Amino acid sequence: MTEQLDTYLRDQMRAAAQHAPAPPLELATTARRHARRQETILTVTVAAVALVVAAIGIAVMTGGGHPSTLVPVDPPIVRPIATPSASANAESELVETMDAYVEHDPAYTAELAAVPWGGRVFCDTVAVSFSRSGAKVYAWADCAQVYVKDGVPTIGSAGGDAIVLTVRHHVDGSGSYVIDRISKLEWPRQQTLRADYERLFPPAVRKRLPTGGYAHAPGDKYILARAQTELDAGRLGPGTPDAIAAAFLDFAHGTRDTIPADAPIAVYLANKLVKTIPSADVNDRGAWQICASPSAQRDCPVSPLTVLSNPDFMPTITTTLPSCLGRLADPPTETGGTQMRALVPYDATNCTQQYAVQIWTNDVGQITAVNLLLGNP
Amino acid sequence: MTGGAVVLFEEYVAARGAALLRFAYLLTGEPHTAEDLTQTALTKAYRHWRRVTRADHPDAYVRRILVTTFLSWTRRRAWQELPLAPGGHPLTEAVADVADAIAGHDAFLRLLDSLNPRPRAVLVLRYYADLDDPTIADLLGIAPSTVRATAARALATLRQNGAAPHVSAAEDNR
Repeated sequence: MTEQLDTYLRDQMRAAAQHAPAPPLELATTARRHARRQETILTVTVAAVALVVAAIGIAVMTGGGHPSTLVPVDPPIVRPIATPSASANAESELVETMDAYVEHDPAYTAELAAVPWGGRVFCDTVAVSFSRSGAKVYAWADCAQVYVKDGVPTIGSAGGDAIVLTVRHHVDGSGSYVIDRISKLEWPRQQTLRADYERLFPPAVRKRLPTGGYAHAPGDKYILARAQTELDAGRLGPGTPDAIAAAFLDFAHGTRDTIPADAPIAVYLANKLVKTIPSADVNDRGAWQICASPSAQRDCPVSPLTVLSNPDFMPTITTTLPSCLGRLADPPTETGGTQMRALVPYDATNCTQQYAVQIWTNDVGQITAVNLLLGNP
Repeated sequence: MTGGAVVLFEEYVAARGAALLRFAYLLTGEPHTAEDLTQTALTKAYRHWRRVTRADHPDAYVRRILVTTFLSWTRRRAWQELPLAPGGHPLTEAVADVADAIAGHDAFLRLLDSLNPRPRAVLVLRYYADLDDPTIADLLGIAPSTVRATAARALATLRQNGAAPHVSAAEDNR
């Protein structure tokens, strides 16, 4: 009977949870923005408190040291801080906007590199100063071409330069300086270096700029860390088997639209070949449904994608199968892949909760076969 | 420089945002409040993202933020609006009376509404998140025996309001 109650509540909760709203696309962006806004409000509040304390102190002093006769004063009106240098988020706004901008400005990246760029360009942009209006940002940008060598992100050509960004910006309700977009980017050209330098940068800014060159040693941690993240997500170079498995998981969750596959994918259920998805259809989630029989067009109850998107059992990537699934007969042999990774639930407590989605990949980072194993068929 | 951490945070939200929202939906029973709760929890998580990513189970860490935020909200303000029937009487009793007959998630969520926030959180953690009582106790900062007692009372309340009519009264002594 206890099991009945457990089952009842579990079933009802899972059914109810399915009616939860879809997550807004900007969930992460809004969270970051709110976090920054809270930091800015905190800054303003601290400033306001400091001013109130100072005002009271002055009033006490001018009142001859008799606080009891102090005439109450209105708290000072503190306007939101609108200068970018005082805004908590100006720097990260700049980095994000630059990241988005750099990828669409090959002329800029080409100028910074000593040799033609071939890999993906990542930049680390540090604001040095802002114009009083906030419309101009004086910054130092280090950009590096990153390519993947033996599965490891490696920095190739790299360059650093002082730059001036003309930005469209606004001050939001909490006083945060927000860059909407970069409308112009300038940097000293090699041919007219000195004249450009003096024209673009006010004397006070010039004193604060580095003297030139790539500011960090090659192997800059920040650029490599970002490149590694992109690689792990399958967005840089031929993916590693782990990255491809992660990409497949993203695809299952609906946060990625494509998977790396340039040939038909063999789909297995419990080690038996049940279908082959043409390469043109691999990004169609419906194509991943496995039907009860080849002739059944309507009864297609299982899909590796739906198994992976079960929120109750978050998968992890491994090279070995859970012991109870590994006992199933004869694993597939004609997978066309050289490497296998399995997505299995990391917190399954018994065999009936176990599943595995095995993914085979070839030498060029393409998925060749997928096998779905269920502990509770 | 925060860029690397930002990317990881966005990936986490992309992967787990929907699951967190479902969890929040069961806690609040209302889609807009669930979105607010998830957004607030993620905002807090972002501010401490380095600490979150250092945890053994980041997901459990964020879930803890979400539950504690939910409970703090309900301590600070009236829990939620009480919808009124056309005659001006609270709907709760009526809902309880007809719960047996109403199928679907809406009836179940209304039944959960009859619980106070903490018992509701205990049941959601136990039956949806599948956590054991010691883990729930640790998450809520209370004793395991308190978790068991809270769950037992919550189940009795649900049964009284018409949930799981086929289940006898002796079952909640888990």
